[in-house]
Amino acid sequence: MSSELRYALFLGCAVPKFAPNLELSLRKVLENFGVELETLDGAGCCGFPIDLSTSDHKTVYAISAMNLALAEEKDLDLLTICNGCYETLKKAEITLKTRPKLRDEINKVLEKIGREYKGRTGVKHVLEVLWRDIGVEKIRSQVTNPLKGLRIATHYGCHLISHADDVDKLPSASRITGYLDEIVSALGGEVVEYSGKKLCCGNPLIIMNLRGSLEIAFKKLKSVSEAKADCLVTACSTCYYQFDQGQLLLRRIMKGKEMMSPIPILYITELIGLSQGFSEKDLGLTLHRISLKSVLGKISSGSGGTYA
Amino acid sequence: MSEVFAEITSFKFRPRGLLELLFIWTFREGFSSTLFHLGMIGGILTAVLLEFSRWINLGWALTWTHGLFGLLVILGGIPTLLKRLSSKYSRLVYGTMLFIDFILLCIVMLSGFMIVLTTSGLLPATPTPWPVIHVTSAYIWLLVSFFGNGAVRHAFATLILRIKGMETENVSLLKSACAKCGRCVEACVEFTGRAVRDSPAFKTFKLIENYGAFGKRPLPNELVDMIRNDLLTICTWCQMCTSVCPIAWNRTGLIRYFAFKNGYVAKEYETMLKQVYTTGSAQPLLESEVKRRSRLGLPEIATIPVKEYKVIMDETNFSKGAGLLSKGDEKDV
Repeated sequence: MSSELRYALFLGCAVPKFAPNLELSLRKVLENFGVELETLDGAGCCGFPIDLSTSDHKTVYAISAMNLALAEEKDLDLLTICNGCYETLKKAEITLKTRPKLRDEINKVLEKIGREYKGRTGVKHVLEVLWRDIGVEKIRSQVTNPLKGLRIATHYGCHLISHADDVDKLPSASRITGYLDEIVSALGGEVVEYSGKKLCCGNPLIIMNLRGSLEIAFKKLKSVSEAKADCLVTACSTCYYQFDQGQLLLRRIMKGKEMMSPIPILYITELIGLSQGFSEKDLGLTLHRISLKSVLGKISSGSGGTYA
Repeated sequence: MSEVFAEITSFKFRPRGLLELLFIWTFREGFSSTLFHLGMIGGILTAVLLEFSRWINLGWALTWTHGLFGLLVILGGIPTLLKRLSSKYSRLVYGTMLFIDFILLCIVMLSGFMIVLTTSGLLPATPTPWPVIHVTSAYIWLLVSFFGNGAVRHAFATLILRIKGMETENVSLLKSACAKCGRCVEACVEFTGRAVRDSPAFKTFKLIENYGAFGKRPLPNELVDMIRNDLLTICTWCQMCTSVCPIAWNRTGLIRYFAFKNGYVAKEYETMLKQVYTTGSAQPLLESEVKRRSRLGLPEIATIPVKEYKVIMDETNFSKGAGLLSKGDEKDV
């Protein structure tokens, strides 16, 4: 069954530039689960920057459809680790699958570059692949280094959940429980509840208002720190470097003001990698701006026990 | 548990269906809201039939069905109204029309109730003013509520929106369909951590209320300032307001789109858009970053087909609209 799991990896613009370590951990961890990743030649921007700045749907759909068409030619689903890419591509996928007239219109644009999106394949988020296609049980069975005693705060990222039905049940407190929390528990970690679980990371605002964007990240990190979590685990690459790099910028901006102690930020595949016994170097964890010493120390001291 | 993706493919970006709105989305506000909506729709439909029964007798059952729907309106309406009044988010957005609607409906309901009492024999059936009051006040309510952007207009606008789909740029239609529930503001406060009155959802709600038409080209400076201050410099584009909106109205996106259509794109976005146009990536890789990837043992990234991005963005007229065409580029195209 495992050999059937093949995806076309869509990295987007930011991951190769700011966080190649995420790609490294993704490749290693998924390989361990028997997932095959194909590189997608000719993929570029997903269309998110255009959606953010102008919301010009036609252009966004056309760019997304171009990327979707590339994977469709290989008869594979796209796999993304960035929530921004995921939402943009998913939006295009669903709209174009359900509205044939619009699809024809977009395909007329794609005709100029010799491509066509028929709506056969789509896009998947890595969390979806981990939870649904691989399964929590399989993830649990491969844990060699359980994260016992590690207090972990989870962050999904808005664009993963913004249109999921789960959030529609607001205001009934924190409904955002699910895949990420279950995977973290399966790794042996303790999921920590914190007050700002719903807060956005603030990254899309960074171009227009750097300070405002970091202030939102600060609110989140502060509530994570108050909950006495050892680290924050995200399911979005953009949120990852907003929190990781953002903490350095925050220190500069918040000069003289009260700052919390640095909070290590991990991506979900990095956490799984650590639980599978990969070393710091294997996963490229040295690229983190915020030191992971405290987390790595806790994992190595707590390791050795068998995990049922 | 684990519902994050459960229905992601079902509701997400499609316009929500009428039955889905009537039963699922009203139910999210509370069972009373569902009762109220059912009562309203049934009440109005049976009232139309009753008007016809002046000429064709449709029997006593119709009158009683009409009365029953009226009862649903009362039973559902009062708790719904109280809920609205007690929610600080919906108090911010509902406006005076809610009260006008409420007062007129009270007259309709009260007179209707009196008719029930007289026809059932609980009150003497001597000639009473109630039927005349009931019909007159109902007509007044229908007219006032329709032309004054009240509940009746909300119902019609929602119906039209379902038929037309969500891609409409008709702001007045969207404004009328808006149920003024305040869920967008609530979600915005939770996800951006801002104070209610500083939240982009509330500010853009006010912006649209005060600035109905965005049709002028170029946009007046005052409006550009408002778009920058109330939206672009505070909104994190998390899309939660759209997610919780019963009509799935992406208001922050619509304002961005209008600004773009009328020739305004914030200059801060220029570099990013230009990079997408000229390199196919919003964050092109530097030489050192390419080397870092190979040091990590990651496979090389294939060259992005720059020309394809250019062709698409020219074909949709985006490059022209966003002012991305420099003289050199124009020669290329």
